[in-house]
Amino acid sequence: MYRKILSFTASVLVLCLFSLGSAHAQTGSLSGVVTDATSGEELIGATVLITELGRGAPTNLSGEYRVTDIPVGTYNVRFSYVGFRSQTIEITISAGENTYNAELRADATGREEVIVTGIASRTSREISEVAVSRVNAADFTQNVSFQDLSQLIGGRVAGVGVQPSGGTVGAGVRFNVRSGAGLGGDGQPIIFVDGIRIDNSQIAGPGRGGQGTGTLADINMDEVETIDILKGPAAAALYGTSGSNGVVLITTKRGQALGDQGGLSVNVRHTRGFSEFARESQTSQFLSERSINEVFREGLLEQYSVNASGGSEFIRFYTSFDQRLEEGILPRNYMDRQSFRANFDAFPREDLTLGVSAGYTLNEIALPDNDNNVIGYLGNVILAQGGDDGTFGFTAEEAINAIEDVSRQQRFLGSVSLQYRPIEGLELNASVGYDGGNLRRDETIPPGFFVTGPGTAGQRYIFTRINEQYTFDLNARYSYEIVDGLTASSVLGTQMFDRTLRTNFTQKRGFSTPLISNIGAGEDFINGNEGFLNNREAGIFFEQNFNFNNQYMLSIGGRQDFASSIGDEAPNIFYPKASFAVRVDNIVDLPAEIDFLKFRVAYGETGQLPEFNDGASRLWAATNSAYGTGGIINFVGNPDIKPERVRELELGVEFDFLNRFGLDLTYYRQWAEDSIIDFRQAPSTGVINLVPFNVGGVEGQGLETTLSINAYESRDFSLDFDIAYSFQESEVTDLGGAQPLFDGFSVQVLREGTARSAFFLPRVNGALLDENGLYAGVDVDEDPSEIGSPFPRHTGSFAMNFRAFRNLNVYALVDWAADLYVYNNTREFAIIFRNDREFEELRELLGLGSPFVDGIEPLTPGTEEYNDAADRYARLQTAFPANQVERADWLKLRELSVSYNFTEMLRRTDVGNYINSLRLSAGGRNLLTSTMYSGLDPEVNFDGARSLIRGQDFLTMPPSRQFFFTVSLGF
Amino acid sequence: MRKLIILGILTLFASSTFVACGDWVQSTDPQINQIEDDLLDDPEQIGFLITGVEARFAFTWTRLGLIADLTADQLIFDEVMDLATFPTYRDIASNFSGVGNNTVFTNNTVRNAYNPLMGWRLLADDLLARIERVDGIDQETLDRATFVGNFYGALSRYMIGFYLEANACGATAGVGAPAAECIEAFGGPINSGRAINAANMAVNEVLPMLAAAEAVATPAQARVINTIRARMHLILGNYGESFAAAQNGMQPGDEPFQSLHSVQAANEYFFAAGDGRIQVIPDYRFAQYVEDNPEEAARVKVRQAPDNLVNDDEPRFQQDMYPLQDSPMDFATWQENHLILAELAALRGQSGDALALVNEVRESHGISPLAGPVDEAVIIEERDKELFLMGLRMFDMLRFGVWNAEVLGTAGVDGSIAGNPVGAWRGIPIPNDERNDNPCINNPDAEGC
Repeated sequence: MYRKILSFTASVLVLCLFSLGSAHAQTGSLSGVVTDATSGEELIGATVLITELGRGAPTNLSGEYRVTDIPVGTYNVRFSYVGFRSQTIEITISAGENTYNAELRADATGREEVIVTGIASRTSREISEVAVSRVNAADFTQNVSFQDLSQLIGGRVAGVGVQPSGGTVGAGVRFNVRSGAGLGGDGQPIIFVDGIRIDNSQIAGPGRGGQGTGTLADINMDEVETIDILKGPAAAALYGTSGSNGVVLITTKRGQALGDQGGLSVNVRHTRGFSEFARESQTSQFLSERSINEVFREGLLEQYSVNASGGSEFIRFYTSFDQRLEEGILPRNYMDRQSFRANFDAFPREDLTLGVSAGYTLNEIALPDNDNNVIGYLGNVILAQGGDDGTFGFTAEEAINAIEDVSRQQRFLGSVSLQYRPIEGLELNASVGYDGGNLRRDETIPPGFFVTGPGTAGQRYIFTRINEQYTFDLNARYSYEIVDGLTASSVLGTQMFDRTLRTNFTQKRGFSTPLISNIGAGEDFINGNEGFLNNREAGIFFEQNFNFNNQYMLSIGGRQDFASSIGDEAPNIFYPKASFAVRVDNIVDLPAEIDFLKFRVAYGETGQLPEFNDGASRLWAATNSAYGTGGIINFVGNPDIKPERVRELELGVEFDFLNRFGLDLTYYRQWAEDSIIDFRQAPSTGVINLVPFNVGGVEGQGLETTLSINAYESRDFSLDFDIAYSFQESEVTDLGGAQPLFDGFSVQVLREGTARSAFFLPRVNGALLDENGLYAGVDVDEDPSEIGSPFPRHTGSFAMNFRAFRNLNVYALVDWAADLYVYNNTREFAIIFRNDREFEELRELLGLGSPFVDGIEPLTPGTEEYNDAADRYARLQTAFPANQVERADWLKLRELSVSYNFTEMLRRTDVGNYINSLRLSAGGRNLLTSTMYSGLDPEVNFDGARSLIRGQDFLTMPPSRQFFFTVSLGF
Repeated sequence: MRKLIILGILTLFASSTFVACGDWVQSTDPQINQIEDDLLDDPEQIGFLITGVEARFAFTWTRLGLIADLTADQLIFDEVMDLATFPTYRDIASNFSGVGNNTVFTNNTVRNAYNPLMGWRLLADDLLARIERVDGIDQETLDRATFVGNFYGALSRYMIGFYLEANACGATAGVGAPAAECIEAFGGPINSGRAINAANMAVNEVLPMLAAAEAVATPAQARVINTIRARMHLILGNYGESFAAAQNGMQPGDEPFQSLHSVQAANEYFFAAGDGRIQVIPDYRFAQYVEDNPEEAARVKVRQAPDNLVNDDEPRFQQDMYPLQDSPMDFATWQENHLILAELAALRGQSGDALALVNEVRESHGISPLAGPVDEAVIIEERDKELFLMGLRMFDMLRFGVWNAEVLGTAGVDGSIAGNPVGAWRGIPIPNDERNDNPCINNPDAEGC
């Protein structure tokens, strides 16, 4: 003890003496301006760091910096800014004032970006051993208004398809990542926001078809700084459970230190626009064309946001408030969202960093009934012709208009993180994150209107859902040098996840007056129930990294995962990973044209753990009846179930050349084994639910490539292109010899030897003709065969960014998908209900008669025209669903924006004293669509975002076309 | 050294975390809506399980009965009704005339009856197995469980054997041909085996279980059992056995044996043929019965459908037998037992006063007596009216060879609205869910079947 006190006292004395000495030493200061080398624009918040001293200063709102009290000497000073290549300059500081103005060049290929490569690992893309895609969200959101994550990511990341389930505002989002990894789970990646694993559910409605509410709609894209995507097990192994479909890491905006004295930046933005039905050209196929076009309306888009950020060396903050009202193009569809965010970072000591992130959203979403539904707008105008006056087919328009279905969600996302660096090289990180959502969904059908189900009695349905989930992270990272040039870091940590979900609903009917609608006023109790689930996951992981002179990089690691389950044994599994990269350009002398060359290889495993109940032998639930409440078998599980394992090998090359081109090429191959397949038992066994078995196997492979081109760059003009292409394919290799598994419509299959979820049906070859040459039926294959996949084999995008006259910016994004198929169930039912124009015309041509079309002369049997018409007629017969499986390749002008930055102009006037920046932009989304699909739009999925059903169009709302105008002011 | 100490501490931390993780993930709050099977091996829980078997009977019967009436000619799918949008009802109503096997075997309405039927059978069997292994059940509960397990186990098997069809026997019998032989081909599977035909199901499964139930039955329950025995034998053509059973069957004054429903466990007719949604309606002849003799309104309960739901100038009628969600649905009545006896006396060589029996049934509804004589036409019509929407018409159509009746208003696959001949399926097709995972359906001679 004595020794410790003496030691401490001595240290303090030495420190004081040192401080005293330095007070008398000669010092100087360094100041200057950091600008964009191309445009000359000042860079606000750029970092200036004197490497040897470990301190520096940020630039202020004018791009100026100033570092004081620098002992006289020569230092390496590093100038860096997000999106620009950093620059390290040797500067000699003399007593007094020293000046250096830095000009940074844009990092066109993004090699310097620091990306997340593992649960506790970050590295620059220059030396990363795995492919990580980054979307710099802030670059896009400053000009374009995004409804949700799907619009921000869609088309911008090779190998990741993100699409809404249709055009309904506020509905769910679905991801298609690479070739889909294993067969277990819902195929969706896990999503983190600032370290919080967030709820990514789709919340189902009152059970009449239609889209559910998507919980991702609560995330305001304007708050997002970056999105990193780990696309498969090779990169996501350390995230373990559920990481087989990738990991999406969303980082919200943080405050920037502005100048050495701190500063504040305030931005105000307003967006106004509208959405409209974009596919009028497709409605002429229906006899009810007029009704269809009349049902759509223009939907308003209105968004106001204000944010403030700033800070100093010790504390930084970012806060924002955003209000967005977006109406759909059908009545009764809107999203009205208010979101508030406050992020703080504090640096109380040099060895301590504290981060607090908090976001609150109040989101009101109104959803119309659609999809497989007779009280939906689309069902009424597309399926049947309705009255002569354009009225609805099945349910009165007034009745549909009177229905209200509104969800109100309050959502809080919060996290606290702490980083402590007790000794050099050692980082101790701890964080806790919370995602709490409280949703209430109200459906009101007023009395007096006839609606299927309640009749004219009126109905109220109230659903509440409280979801709380905690993410705990604890990890240590120790970086050290083994020998000269060989550095290493060791990571060890644990991650835990706890989720509690409570739901309940009440449904009543029999309301005497539409004026009073509290549920107590309903006469008949129809149904009510509640649900409760508490589940936990935990993982312990390690990673060992080696880096030799930035030439060879090696990483090995693994994670042991555990999850809650019914039964005595928690399922657990170990997922290993290893990756290696070599920077050829740092090893050998390459031709001068080659700026960067890296090869990488990575291997990793993840998978899906069984569902909570999967290990149960038999579960019983209570059922209500007129006999009382009795027990029924609710679920039959499999006590022998174990986790699925998905392995992935990833090979890649990254290549920059001619100082203008950046090419990334990644090939991957995935194998899944012991996939958990839910098998239907023969119902005669009495087991009605699907029973999980570890029998599945699937293989997939794919290629992803991105090409960045900085075609031209000068002070006033620049032209950049980003081109992405990806290919994927999959094949189910093992179902344990079981019969093929079909979806609910028996059109898609999991079957050994075919692609995942392929359409598998007997093909129709044409018409059968009798001896007189008359149409006599359908010539159909006896056995089913694979027709195609709902997952496109080829996808790609082309983005262009053109800057002219320094301040005018034009951005365009075109994306496409090829070799994909969609089941046009909408058309199938339109034919059944005699609303398909071609079908009716063919009936007339074949002499079969149609009361719905006039003026068509029947063809003569035996003629080529007749036979052709007979073949077409056969290919529309609805008894053979292969007829409605259509190739649905598409190409879309997804986004186009034009913006002008008036900041420079402002600064030449007095207004510049009050307003720091002014930017105007205008743009549009889904502006043009070209597709082989005959339906309203190929980008739909009737069963929402979470279902395994893919590529099925069943009266699903098509995506709308949107135009918007934005003005941004900075103070 | 420092590196080693740090790595040592981290390793120690990892080891302790490893041990803790397994426990932590398992210490969650229990579910509230379901429990594991072994917790029900408790005498106190037998009552809960008994009620479950009864509840599933009601759930199943209202769905299966509806399809049976639709397969027969009592209910039709008429697209003139605005809400008649669901083509699976049309397919059933037209006996899947002309549609491909894919449509027949994936019909959701059929599946929604087939699956509960099979689950209900398992519940009844599970109840019987559980009372065998659980000690300490009081005698009253034990008797009740024995009755419920055997009685509903028998009823579920009766429905499996008599209502389901593996192959479309109407296809070979030919449209309009007497199709009594079809019943020979009826049958469904138990426990993933081959389809058991109606006769074998009755002899080997249903009758033994009914006997076991009868052993602990009340007199009223025993009479219901006998009426069910009489019905099965009548359908199978075993007239002597039918007569013997019917003589001990339900009597005037006996309450009908019904499936009971509530708002939460609703009668399916409300949503398919009632105020919830009118997708199917009674064949037009039922309105005609009432028009011809208004007294018939007491037992043939139909009412005019709301004008705003009929897309046509002609009126349409909806059934009024089960007007509410909680309307009970008849499964067996003393009136049926009387008509069985009447038929056996008038047409099948058994003793009895057929006219008196028929008129006693009519009188119970306040309908004037018939003058006689009772011939086949009278039996067919009286049964058509008396057993309206009881899921029994299908068997009469087979037995009396009246399957050639045109089902007016049922849209055929070629799109025309009226007058199409009925299709090939006489019973309810065994769906693909079964066929895909039970090879014994399509190939009964396969190994293990």
